[in-house]
Amino acid sequence: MRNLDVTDAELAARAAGGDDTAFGVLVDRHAPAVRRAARVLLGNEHDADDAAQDGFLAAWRAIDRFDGNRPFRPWLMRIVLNAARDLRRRATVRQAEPLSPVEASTRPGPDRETDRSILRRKLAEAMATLPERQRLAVTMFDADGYAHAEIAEVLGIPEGTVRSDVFHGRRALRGQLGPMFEEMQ
Amino acid sequence: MTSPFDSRPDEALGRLLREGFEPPHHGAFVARIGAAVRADARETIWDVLAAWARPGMAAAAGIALALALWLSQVNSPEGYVATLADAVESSVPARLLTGGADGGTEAVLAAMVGDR
Repeated sequence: MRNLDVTDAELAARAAGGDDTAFGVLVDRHAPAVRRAARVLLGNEHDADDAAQDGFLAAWRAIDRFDGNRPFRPWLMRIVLNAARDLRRRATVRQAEPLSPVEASTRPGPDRETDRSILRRKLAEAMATLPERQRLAVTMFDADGYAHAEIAEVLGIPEGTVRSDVFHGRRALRGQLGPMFEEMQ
Repeated sequence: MTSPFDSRPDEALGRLLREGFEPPHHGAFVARIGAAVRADARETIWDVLAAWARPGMAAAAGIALALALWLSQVNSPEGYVATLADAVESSVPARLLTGGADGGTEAVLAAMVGDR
């Protein structure tokens, strides 16, 4: 099976028939986006992966109820974010780590990679100041290419609100990242 | 630079977000989910079987016990003789032959003229 040729709906239909390999292709395809969103929501890599696993398992159990006429990824993302919120509600989340997956180098100097590391750290700090919905909206829209309508479906809010969240989120991030971000482009 | 009003994704910010929140060990995570899904599928099958098994086993045990009791009654010589003796003693001819308190004469006459 050439995975790129097969649509999400076809894979979901096969998975609904018990084909766990087809479901594995869906996991491979969507894991980066859902893990990233869970991470942005929970602020902790391990909890995010636990939530993503819970979400994928819930999706596997409910796959026969998925409507193949609707897009798959908002359906999946919604399940994963619900799992992440459940995890948070159960108060078992670990202490939120500072959102700095890539450690900034301590080497001084104008080295470009070092600047990028610093920028990523600043981004993580800036993200932590945003309201949860804006964080998710900006991440899904700019990093993972979700459409406004898809994000609206995931978050259960009007599309106009998503546009507003993306706008305010971007403006806040750019404001906090400062001129360094503009120079890096 | 992309305007915050732009309805297209902000390429630079998107790239930075992907780098900053890149989930590590993608292959290991996919394998972990695959294992969890397979374990869940097995668990589901066993759950179904277990749900069937509990009442099924109880019913089968009850039936087996009843059957065993009945067979032990019928197959044992004492049990068989006792059952046969009960049947014989309670029959009309036996009561007639033994001259029981039921009035044998009336019973014989009734049998002889009964169809007329």
